[in-house]
Amino acid sequence: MTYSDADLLAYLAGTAAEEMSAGIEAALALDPALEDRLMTLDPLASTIGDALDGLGADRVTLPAQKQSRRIWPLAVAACAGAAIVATVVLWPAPQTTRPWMDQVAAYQALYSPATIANVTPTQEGLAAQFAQLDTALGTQLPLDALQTATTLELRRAQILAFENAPLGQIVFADDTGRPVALCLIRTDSPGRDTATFELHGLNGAAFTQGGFDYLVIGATTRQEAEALANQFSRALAAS
Amino acid sequence: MTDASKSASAMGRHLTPHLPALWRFALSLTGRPDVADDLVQSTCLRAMEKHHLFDGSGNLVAWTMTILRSIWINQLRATTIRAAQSLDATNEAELAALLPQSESNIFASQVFTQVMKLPEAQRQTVVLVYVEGFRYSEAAKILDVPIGTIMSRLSAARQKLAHLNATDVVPQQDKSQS
Repeated sequence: MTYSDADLLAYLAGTAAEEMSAGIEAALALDPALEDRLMTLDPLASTIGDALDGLGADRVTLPAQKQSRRIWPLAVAACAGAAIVATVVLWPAPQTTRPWMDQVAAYQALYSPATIANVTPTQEGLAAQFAQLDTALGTQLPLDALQTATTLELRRAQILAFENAPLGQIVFADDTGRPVALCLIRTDSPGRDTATFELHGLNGAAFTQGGFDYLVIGATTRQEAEALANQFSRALAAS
Repeated sequence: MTDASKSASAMGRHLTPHLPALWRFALSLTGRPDVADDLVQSTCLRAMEKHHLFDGSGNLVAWTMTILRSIWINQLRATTIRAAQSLDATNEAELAALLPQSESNIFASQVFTQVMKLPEAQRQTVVLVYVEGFRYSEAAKILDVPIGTIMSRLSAARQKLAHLNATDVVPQQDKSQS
């Protein structure tokens, strides 16, 4: 069946009979010329196309490809033993995260329960580690509050670095010995509510408050990561 | 036949002129310019990483938009919904400012605002067909829906936007800017 321009205009206006509309839509899949005619006759096409022409020009640029970056430990906690240095490849991460979070997740993915199995800190030892964090980051992290904020057991704290900026890593163990880390780095970004994601196979949650980005990484589920992040957030805010 | 599939850098070169189109489609999916920025970045990285999967004889922009939509659906949408108040509630002033010369072209700003107020599915379809010029069949492939769905979305959008073509509404430049 052939359709006149008037038929097609009625279809586009929504006034064509139901049978004709069905016929036109069935024919579209088989008739590229009919498709062309409809597109040409559509009264809104040029109105909208012209109005939005230029939208998005110069908005984004091509991102940098894979890069090799290093996470270097600046100081080694006595209880931890030798420092772990990892060269990691930056993979595209969910864009609700920051680049440093992707690096930390890749580093944390190297951890196993065995990594912290023999880490049995004293309270004095943890206080000394937290003092190192505070000196490097310019913080007053509440050791007692972070120890009791969740059911995790605080095992170790150390300073790492990302692109020469100090990065704090506080490692906990859950009741199965699984390592979970709370990491922080200074930021100029405004506060952000908790967001969850998966990085390098690990469940994580991130939030921003008080001039720092925080990352909880290594939880059993994303829901747990979010719950832990919220608990840490409250403990930090209350101190 | 493009050489975009030969290497990541070749893919990047071929994508560069299409970044505005990718961003417009990303904006139609996300409703938020900041999320659209991130989505395009992720998409380009993925396309460059998977350059070898592109059939050099196909439509590069359509292929990349399929990747973009997949990333949105599979990775970003759920997180963005939790972090934001609403995907469809976009500040009008913020939107208008995205359009070049928005202060002088009031009609274009009105059109843009009305398009962004459409439900997500209609908005995506309108951008692909009316702005990027994809055929109905091509838009159907990108959005992974039957062509009949494309037509019904456009029909619904036309009913909502028909007033933009009303003869008693004359698009005017803002005379105070001349």
